[in-house]
Amino acid sequence: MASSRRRFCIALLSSAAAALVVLCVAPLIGSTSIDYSRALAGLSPDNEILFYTRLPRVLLALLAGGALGVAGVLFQAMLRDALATPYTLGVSSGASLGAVAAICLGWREVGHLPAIWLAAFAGAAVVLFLVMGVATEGRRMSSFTLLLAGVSINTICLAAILFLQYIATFGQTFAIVRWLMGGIDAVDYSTLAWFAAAILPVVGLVFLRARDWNLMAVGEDWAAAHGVSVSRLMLSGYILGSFLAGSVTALAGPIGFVGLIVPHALRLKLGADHRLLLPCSFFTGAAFLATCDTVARTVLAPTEIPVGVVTALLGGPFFIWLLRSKRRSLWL
Amino acid sequence: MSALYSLTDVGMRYNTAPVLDAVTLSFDAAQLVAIIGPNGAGKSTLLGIMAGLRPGHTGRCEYRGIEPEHWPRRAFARKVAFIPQSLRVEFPFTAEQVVLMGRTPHCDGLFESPADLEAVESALAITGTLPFRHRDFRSLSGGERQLVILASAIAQQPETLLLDEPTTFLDLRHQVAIYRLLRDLSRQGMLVVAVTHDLNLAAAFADRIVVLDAGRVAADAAPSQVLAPERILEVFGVASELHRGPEGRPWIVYGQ
Repeated sequence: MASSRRRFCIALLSSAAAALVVLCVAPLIGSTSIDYSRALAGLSPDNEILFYTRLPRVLLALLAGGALGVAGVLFQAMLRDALATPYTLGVSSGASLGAVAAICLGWREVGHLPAIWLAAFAGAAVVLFLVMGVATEGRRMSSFTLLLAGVSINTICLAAILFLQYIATFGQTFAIVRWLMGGIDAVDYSTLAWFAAAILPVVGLVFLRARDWNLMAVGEDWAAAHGVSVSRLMLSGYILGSFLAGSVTALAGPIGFVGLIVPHALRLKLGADHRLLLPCSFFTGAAFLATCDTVARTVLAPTEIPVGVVTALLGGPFFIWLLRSKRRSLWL
Repeated sequence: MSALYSLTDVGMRYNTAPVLDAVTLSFDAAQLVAIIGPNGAGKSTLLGIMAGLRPGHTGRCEYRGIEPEHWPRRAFARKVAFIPQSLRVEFPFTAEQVVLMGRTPHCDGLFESPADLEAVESALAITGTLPFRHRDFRSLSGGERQLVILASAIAQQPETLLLDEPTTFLDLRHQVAIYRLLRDLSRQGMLVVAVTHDLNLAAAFADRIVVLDAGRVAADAAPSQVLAPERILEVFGVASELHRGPEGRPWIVYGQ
């Protein structure tokens, strides 16, 4: 058992190290080259570029990527399906619909917070309750109905977004399209702090139940027969997962495929134990999205491509490959 | 000593169709009980009710005087282990990780204690699953999987073990290996209740056979008293001949 504990530590430390390396290196890459000694000495423009443009953006990408990785693992354990993500369940499209509605209505700020974020969050929450309401049969939630409800709500939200886009003005349409592609922008540190304060405790809460998620990933009856309170665990998973997905969508737009690629690749390498999979997905998801974002802002510099385009171009083919290999394994 | 399970007038309906009707049974420790009956007789439903996994029954099903649904879940899982008919695992858990899951009701922290690991080690040894402990559960043969699941239940250290068709689809060697293990467990004091379709395995190993037919108990006694050609014709609609095997246990030849 000592060897398995060592393996556990190595995997955890190396994924954390990957995130740390990206945190240190990614801010150096960009259209203007900067270095740390000049920036830390307060020399202009290195100081401003590092602390006001690149570092907040890398931090946001790290947090968002980590949250998406954990949300992916969570939804996959709940539905026992490697293809389940916040996307599949309609949560991301609910958030998108909220944001698009806010753009069309011309809302800018509610209180001190940008209206798009609040609307995206509200959209995710509404979908959450709709899907849960449809999928709850008596006291139990059925995974199959949950997925079906998610797919239907996804379709409805996408139709509503198309409708809003159709009736919107030209300027609004541009803003909608830009937002839907997903993008990470430099945000101020107070926003980052709020985001971190929302994401990190939720990730911690999910990790505390990692053992129960192992059983849930095998089966609901299996979990129940081992003393896990299934409906309560499912409820907590759905709320926490939607919270993660909703917060990320609110800040960075709908970014796909992180929650799909990262958990799947880690499962191939590390196995399915959620006590390892959850923290490693957080760090690896963080490193992955921050790397994609660095590519997005440098590959066609000075023009930036939305990070959602980069993750989709990497993730789409991967998704198809996954579908095919899944089908093969079913035939075996 | 009072019975572990006492079922009084247990009934269950799916929509309006009755699946179980007026089932009254009791089970003591240190028995290997086989539940047999045709498809749709309510065997799996009965086992599900006993495991506390199928809510909504009528009558009383009590484990140590308390309905499974009213037991604190973890406390119940320390007493009663349940092995489902099939376990389709979607993710790459190793055999050992599946066995480790059996320790969940005993283990408070995020990680297993040395005592947990010891229980897993001994469960792997008893079931002969040590050689493939590190293999992906999904890559194992049906027989190997069933042994791993049984190891998981043994690691759970319950006083009662419920199994839904533990040997369906298994080769002869694994069928016999599983029933030998179940018999050994019952001799060490465990109550083992297994739903099965194999009358001859039940006859060879069980202490007691319960026959369910259309949701009712058609017979409940020792194998030699239960397995008579007239009853098999009545319940399963199949003609058969009765022979005697070792220890005077019945041996059925069907389809003549």
